[in-house]
Amino acid sequence: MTRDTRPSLLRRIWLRTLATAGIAAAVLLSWWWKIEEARSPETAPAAAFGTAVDLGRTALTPMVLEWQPGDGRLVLTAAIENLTGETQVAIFGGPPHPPQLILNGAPQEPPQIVLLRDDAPLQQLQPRISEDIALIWQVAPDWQAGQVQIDFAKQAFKLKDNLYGQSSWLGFSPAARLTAIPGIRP
Amino acid sequence: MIRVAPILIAAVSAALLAGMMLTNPDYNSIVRPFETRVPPGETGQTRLIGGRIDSWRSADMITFPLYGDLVRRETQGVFLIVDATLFGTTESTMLRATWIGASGRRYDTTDRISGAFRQVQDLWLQPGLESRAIAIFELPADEIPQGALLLAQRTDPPLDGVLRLEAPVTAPIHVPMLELDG
Repeated sequence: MTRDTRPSLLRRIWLRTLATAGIAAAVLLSWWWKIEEARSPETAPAAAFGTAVDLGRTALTPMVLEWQPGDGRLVLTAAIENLTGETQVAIFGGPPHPPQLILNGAPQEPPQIVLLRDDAPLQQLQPRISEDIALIWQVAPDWQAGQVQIDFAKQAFKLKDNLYGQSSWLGFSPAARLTAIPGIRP
Repeated sequence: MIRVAPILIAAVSAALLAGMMLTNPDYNSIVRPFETRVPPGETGQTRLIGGRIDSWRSADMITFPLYGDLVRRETQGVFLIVDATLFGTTESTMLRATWIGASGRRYDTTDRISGAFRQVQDLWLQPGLESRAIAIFELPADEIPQGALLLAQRTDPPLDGVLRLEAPVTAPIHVPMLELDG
């Protein structure tokens, strides 16, 4: 008497369905990764002076980059505008992602951000009121002015999120990279 | 033989579900405050707060004392100063004031005048007691007419009452510089 070792029809169908689902999941996952990669590129487009960079809630237009060796300050002056319909306190997103200065490949501390008008800290941005601001980084006074890099990040907005279907600000992605040699103001 | 009934039931069910999904109001529409609209010059009340607009002014520049110094603040737009009488109903309450501009944009009270006396955002509103307060906004001049002052609890609970006091009919008095008390 021989014993039939072949699995039952139901079991065979189940195994094949499982294998097919696994392959389909792997294909879909790799496809989604490709889409994500295309949506948030690692290398941000180049920013230019006088051209607005979209940061999500706000648009920032870099104007002048100056090195002030006397004070050890690198100063980027810019115009910033609120793109939303309400007063913004999360001007550079939440949690804040202010422009990041990179010197010799090393990211620096976040800048101090003040209004050019009266040197008051930038705390709010009102809709339809553009403000001229200065982003001030403290740099070692013996730093030799050379090419610097400033990275801007953009926060994504979703009108209906996947959790509650409410409007939400979600993740950050690189928005632009400004590469420039600062002018020197003694 | 094709069994029509189950296919029909499935199709109708799918259509009904799709209809429900498409007409389902979103979270922002469902979970929002109950707004009490108050016509110009009248006193309104909601669950925890009540009040009216007494007068309003606008200015290009504001000065106010801060830690012994006189601070001067200018704006790219214009400062709108709304004088209001407010009262609490059943609980001590802290407020948040917003100006709804003519375009529908929402302007919070400015942080640039922090330190000036009697500002709405610094006020503890007590039940049964009237308090005079000012709300200062920084906005483009064309947002002032046909706007409204929106008063809500500081924590802004989504399903509680907010008071919408419509702007006075007469235009605000404009001064180049306004001196506020500290």
